[in-house]
Amino acid sequence: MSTPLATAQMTDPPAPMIELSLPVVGMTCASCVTRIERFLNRSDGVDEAVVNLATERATVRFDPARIDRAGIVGAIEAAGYEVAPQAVAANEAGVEDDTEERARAADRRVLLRDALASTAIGLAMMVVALWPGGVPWPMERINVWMLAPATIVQFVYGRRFMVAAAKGLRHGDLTMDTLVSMGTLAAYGYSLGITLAGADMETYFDSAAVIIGLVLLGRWLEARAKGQAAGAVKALLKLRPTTARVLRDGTEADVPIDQVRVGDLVRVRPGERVPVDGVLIDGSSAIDESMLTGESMPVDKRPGDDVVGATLNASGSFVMRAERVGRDTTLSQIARLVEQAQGSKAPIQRVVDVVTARFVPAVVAIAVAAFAGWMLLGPEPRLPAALGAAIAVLIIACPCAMGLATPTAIMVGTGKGAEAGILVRDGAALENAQRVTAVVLDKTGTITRGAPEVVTARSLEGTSDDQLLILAAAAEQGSEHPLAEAIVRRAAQSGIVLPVAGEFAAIPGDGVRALVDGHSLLVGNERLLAEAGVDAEPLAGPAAEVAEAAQTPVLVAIDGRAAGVFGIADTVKPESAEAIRRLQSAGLEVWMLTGDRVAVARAIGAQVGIPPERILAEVRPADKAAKIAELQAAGATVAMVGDGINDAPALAQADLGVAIGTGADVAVEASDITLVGDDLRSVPTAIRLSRATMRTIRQNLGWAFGYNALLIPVAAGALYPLTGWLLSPALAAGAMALSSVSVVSNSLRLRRFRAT
Amino acid sequence: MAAKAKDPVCGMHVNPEVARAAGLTAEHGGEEYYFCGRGCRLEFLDDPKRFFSPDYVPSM
Repeated sequence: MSTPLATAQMTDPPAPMIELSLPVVGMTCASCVTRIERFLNRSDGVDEAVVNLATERATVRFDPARIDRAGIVGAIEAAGYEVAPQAVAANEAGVEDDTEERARAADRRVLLRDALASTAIGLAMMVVALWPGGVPWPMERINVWMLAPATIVQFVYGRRFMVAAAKGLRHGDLTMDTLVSMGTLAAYGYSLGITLAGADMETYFDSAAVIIGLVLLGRWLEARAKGQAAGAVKALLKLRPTTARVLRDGTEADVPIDQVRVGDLVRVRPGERVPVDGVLIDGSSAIDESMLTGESMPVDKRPGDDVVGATLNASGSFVMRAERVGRDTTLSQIARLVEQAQGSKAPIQRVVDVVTARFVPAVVAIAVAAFAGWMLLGPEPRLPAALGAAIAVLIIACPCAMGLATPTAIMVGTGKGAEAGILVRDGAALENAQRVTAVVLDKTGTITRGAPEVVTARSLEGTSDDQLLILAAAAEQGSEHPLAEAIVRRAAQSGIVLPVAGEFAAIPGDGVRALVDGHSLLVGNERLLAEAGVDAEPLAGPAAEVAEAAQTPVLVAIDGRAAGVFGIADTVKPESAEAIRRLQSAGLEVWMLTGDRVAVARAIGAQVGIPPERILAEVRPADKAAKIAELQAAGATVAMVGDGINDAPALAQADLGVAIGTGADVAVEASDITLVGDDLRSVPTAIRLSRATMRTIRQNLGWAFGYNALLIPVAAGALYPLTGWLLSPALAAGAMALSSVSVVSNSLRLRRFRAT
Repeated sequence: MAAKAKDPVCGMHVNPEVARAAGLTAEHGGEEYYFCGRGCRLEFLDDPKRFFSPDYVPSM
């Protein structure tokens, strides 16, 4: 039997080649690729090595008998590169939040265990007491058996209610805990009396235990719902990277995120999250900022552009300079803002608080009245019925459903907003947003992009459009005027490499003069051309057309001859028209407020659908707040949307100030709602979210108040004279738990709110 | 924006500030050269003269 095996072992098959793919760190260009390939292919045992710069991987086919993984890694390291460790280090930044979350989860588990144990013990006692046909033991003996489990439930599992009630009483507060403690202690005390007296009477031990169990179950559901609602902030904080690759003292090293200092240069590789806020200084990439703005299209970033921590580097590798770290980063600010908003009280909640504060004493009074009523007027046996009614009243009254109605909805609503890049300052802001009747939009930077762009380019005969752009952009390179920047940016967008300009001179207020590729260039207004003795007449027609379209004409002369004109204007954001249409179809008046000329404002208004009578143009920044006040005086509840810098007074004056496209500025302070992205459609979304949240709150309150108004009289026995109905205390506890659950689940329905 | 320097090995444009911070520089003939990455710097240090030859074509 062993022979064939032995033969097989002795025949040495040709060594199979193994293929290994390793992540290589530190490659920057094609030279790196060839260098690593050369080092690998030179190694003994390597059959073929292919290195891919884009995927940052080296794929090596090798003979395992002659070289192993360590040998290959060694060759890559000899070439001057590193192999990334296979296992990514555990996320350490989340540790702090995780321990907190774990502690809460442990609390919830204890709560659930106690709730189930109490309910099970209570139900078991109830089954014995209500056994059909009766049990073959005298009642007084059953009562003695029940004493031990009932006592455990009352004073072990139910201890927290009495401790909290006692604490509250010391401050004169009557709370939910007071009601539960009073109700169950009354039931327990009465039953204990019967048991000690050895009377052959039914007890309420089972009811007390079931009540404690169900109230605990309600608390558990509440805690679980709260944990889910607070998830938005936690999800945001989880995005924080743990380390940053810092270039410092001539070396590049991964350092913990909390050691990154302002001014550090940080390398961000493809697929990584940007560690802190800063400015891109070298390289370029597309960055996915959806976690902040809700906008899923990656945004192109070039040197000079801001990059925000926790956003995802989707394509290229780049180097950034850290400008805000730790608590100052946009992400930390957003998380703080959301947390504050979730914990804040909406004005409607203050009404609820007042009602709740009077509610508990009122319930106690009704319970006492019910007890007295049954004792005086009820049928025999009076004491158990009177006590049953009083306990049912105490238990069924549910200030907790009222207490949960507003905060749960606010929590889910603000969390939902944060996911879509809508940061609500507090509950009041959320409540105000649904009252808005008029929306005032700042023009520059809100409806429009806020940066002038070349919209038209007209060249006269003898000059091509491309030539016009190349020469004019080359001449304008040295200028910092926004119009010049628009022309240079247009050239850069077309991928044109600009020739170097010489003899550059800027004539303030008029334009620039320069020498490009042997041509003398004049780029500026009519006066610039006239003073240089150039006949601008051929450009008069095109320039007038451009001006007619509310664009600023920039004239170009080449070698002393008029050559063409650019029309430059601030263009409308692509989403603005749709956003305004949505606001209008939601029944809101939409206004435009701008310091720009009437003609420009009307041209923009026509593009986005704001009629001339709703355009307030040529308003100085200082007068913007006054215009808002005028609208308010005319009876409107006004939301002002602006980009926050010169609009701050108007934002503060408005009933609802909305800062757009800032995310982390002082503008946040002046506004009630901050839109992280610059998409105007977030405004109708914010108002819709506010309406949905307030609708949920009103439903919750209606449910909670209605439930109490309906069931307290039933519990007190109001229906008994008519129908003979009497609510048992245990049933009351079940109904009470259900009302809390229904309120919480109604709030959680808000999670289905869609942002678009 | 900071002035750009050219990596003599691969021909890429390099930001000198970034290269200096990352230690991607080398001195040759009294001039400082900036590199896009370690590979280019090591190639350069192996044989700097090669990259000044008029026949040398950058790999990118």
